[in-house]
Amino acid sequence: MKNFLKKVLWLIYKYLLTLISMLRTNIRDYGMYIALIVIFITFSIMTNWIFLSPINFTNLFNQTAYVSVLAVGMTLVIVTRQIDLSVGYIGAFLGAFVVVAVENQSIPVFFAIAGALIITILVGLVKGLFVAKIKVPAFVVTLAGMFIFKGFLMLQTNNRTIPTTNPFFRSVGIGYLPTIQVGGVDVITLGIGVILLLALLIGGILGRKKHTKLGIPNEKLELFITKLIIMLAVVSYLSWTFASHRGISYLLLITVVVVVIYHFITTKTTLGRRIYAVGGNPDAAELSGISVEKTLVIVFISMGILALISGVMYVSRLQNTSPNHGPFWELYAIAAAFIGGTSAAGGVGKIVNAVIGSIVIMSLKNGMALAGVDANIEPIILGGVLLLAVVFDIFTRNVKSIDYVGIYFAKKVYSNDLKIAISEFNIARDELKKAKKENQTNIIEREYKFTNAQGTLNKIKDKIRNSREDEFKDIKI
Amino acid sequence: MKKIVSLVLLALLVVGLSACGDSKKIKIGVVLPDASEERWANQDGAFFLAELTALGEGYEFEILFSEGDESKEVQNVEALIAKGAEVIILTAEGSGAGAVQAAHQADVILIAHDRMAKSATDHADYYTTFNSWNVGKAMGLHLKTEAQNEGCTVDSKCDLAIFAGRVADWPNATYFFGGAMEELQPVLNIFNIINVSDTFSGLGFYTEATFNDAAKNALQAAMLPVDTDWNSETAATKAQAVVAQLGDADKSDQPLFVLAPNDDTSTAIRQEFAEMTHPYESYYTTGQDAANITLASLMGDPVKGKGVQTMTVFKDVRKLVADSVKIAKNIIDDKPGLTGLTSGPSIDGAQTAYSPIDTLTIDNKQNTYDIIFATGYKSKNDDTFSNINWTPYE
Repeated sequence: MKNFLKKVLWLIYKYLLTLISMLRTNIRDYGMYIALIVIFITFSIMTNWIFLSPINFTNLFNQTAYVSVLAVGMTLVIVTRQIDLSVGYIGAFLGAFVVVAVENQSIPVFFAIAGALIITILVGLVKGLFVAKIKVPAFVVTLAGMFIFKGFLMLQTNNRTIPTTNPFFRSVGIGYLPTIQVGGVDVITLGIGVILLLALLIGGILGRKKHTKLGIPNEKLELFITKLIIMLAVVSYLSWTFASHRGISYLLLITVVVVVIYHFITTKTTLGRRIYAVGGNPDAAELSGISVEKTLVIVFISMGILALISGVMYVSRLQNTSPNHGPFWELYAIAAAFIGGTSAAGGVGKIVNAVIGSIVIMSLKNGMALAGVDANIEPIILGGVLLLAVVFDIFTRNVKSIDYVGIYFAKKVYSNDLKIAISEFNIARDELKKAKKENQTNIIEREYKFTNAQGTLNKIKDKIRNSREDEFKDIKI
Repeated sequence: MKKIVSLVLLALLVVGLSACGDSKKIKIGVVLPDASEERWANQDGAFFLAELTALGEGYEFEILFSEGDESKEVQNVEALIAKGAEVIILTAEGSGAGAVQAAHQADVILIAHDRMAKSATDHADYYTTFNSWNVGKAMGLHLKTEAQNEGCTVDSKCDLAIFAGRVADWPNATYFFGGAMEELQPVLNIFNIINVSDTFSGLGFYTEATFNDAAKNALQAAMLPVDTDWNSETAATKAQAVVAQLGDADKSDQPLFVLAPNDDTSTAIRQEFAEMTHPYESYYTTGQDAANITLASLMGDPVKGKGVQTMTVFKDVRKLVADSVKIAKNIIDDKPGLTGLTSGPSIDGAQTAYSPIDTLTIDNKQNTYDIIFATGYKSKNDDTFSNINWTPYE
């Protein structure tokens, strides 16, 4: 009985050690999740939990949509060590283009968007060529683009606000997927939630099996299960929340589709790997046969396409196009990418994290409005968060992986060696001190001994520090 | 140690933020365009705070600013709805379409404050504004009365210069102009229009009641040549052209009548006329907004080089705010929204309340003092008013 209790306690202790090890090792990836949780809790307390209510949560995701989509593209731009300042006004211009075409020239929505798509692909091509081929810094090219498209936006809207009447804009901007209400809860959203849950579960298990088959080491089972449980909890909470308001909005749907596509491209395709290679080291990428020029052009074109989607989402949500649209979009997208851990040095950055970054930004805006905080404070906090995020990124760049379970074992196994090393080190140190004090002739010899003892001790310490759990499979506790 | 310090700091931040937060449920929400603009922060914003605080319990409220950003505006409306607002008072940044949709999707009543809020298919439930037609009428009446007092007749005509606001600023500019024309058009034969060829005598006679699309087109066509773009530069340029045309003509024994759409353009126009070789003996000029230079002129200070303005229409934002708040209170109390208010014709489908306007003239300085300075709307310590002797009015 006592043994059993001991075993359970040990398992819990081991699990906690594993969890902390993972957090320490991957702190760079989890930093913004922690930030998000802190922000959520703060605003929930400030707003009497209205912040987490279904209506506000739905609002939050609708508000984030246009920034998320831009941030996805911006992440890739920053990963390739470039920047794009033009997307705000390009997005606003393309939104205006579509609205004017549909409302004033009675062109069907499909053709209007197709036209805008052609424009944005051409613009992306030109931007990309300027940056990649003529080697004009992206900052300058896109700054020019920002001015140019601000002008085009004003021309396109003729300096007036043009309202949208077409049902397309209505459904995209403020529409929700069809719902079947049962007891105030939408069954369709819940169904989608359940399907997602199953997909996560099955996908995770299949992935592990595949790894085992190919001989790739799997992550520890405890971690896998913990992650799975957290993801399942988040998905259940989100689908329940959305289901008890209006279901899934088209804005959310579009965002999710964009994120899934880009997540797939960046993690599973050659193009994705090329983009990260070009960002990590352009020269090495070029030498290994990747066309840096082509990759950059593709990244700028993709940014343009996302700007189109973002612009259409924005005009749809506001139900009008206006010459005042556009400012700050690109800056929010850049901030979201950086808060999401994208590295300004290039080569590092995840799509999903950029979306989390945009949610961080919008939570600040949403939460402050909800809490009735003076609107002037919001940019100050946002700036602080951005700076913190980047400093955090720099500090955590060289974090080594660590396994406290391994250390725990190693401490037991090497405890004798460690004791001996420490005592030898202490003796050598004392002798050296003494020799220095009494000005003995053998100082050099003592110093040599001391350095040796120090080296041995550090070696053992390092060995313990770098121990892994699976090195001690045969040891019984 | 580092960890403990950072945890403590984090906790402090959370507590600090929570302290400045304000989490109560609300009934009335107010969304104004921009906290960095004098008008919204120090006038409407401050007056709303005062009026709504005075309502007390049962009318909990919150005021948010949109920072000139339409998406922030929608976000604010959504936040207020999430906090339980039943009525939202909104001054839209753009067309306000997104806000109207968000409010009506949640069955929340929307009051458009000063600016109409509408989408292509929907509009605010209520609209509070000043009666722009009456503003124009007050300007026209002032010029007509003064001209008759000066003895202008069909045989001895007086000089009149006509200017309008920006034609594209529909409906405001057209309503101002239409109102002024309702008074002036029947007596145009006692005037000699000096700035453009007379297209005004041929205009039909329109009142607010008979105003329609044909009237809008006719009035706007007449406004086009005298469009100041609400811009003092443009107004000055147009006035310079007239001054150049007058050349050396000696006008020192005649009065000049100027229909100017607001105080800024009025000042710019008078300034140009004052630079003539033989300037007019006296001026009768209109305006609106109660700008400082205008008030100085109305209080008897012949502002150097800026000529004299003889009347302005003061649109008291406090009255506008009071009306918006009254509608909101009526709705919370389950009364018809416009109970106890002056209703106007429905504009764009919204029920409209007209807030009263004040006409300030140079002949009634006490009135100007009572309305503007005694109420603390403007401070008489401003440099602009340094030449004015206040003792008779205090």
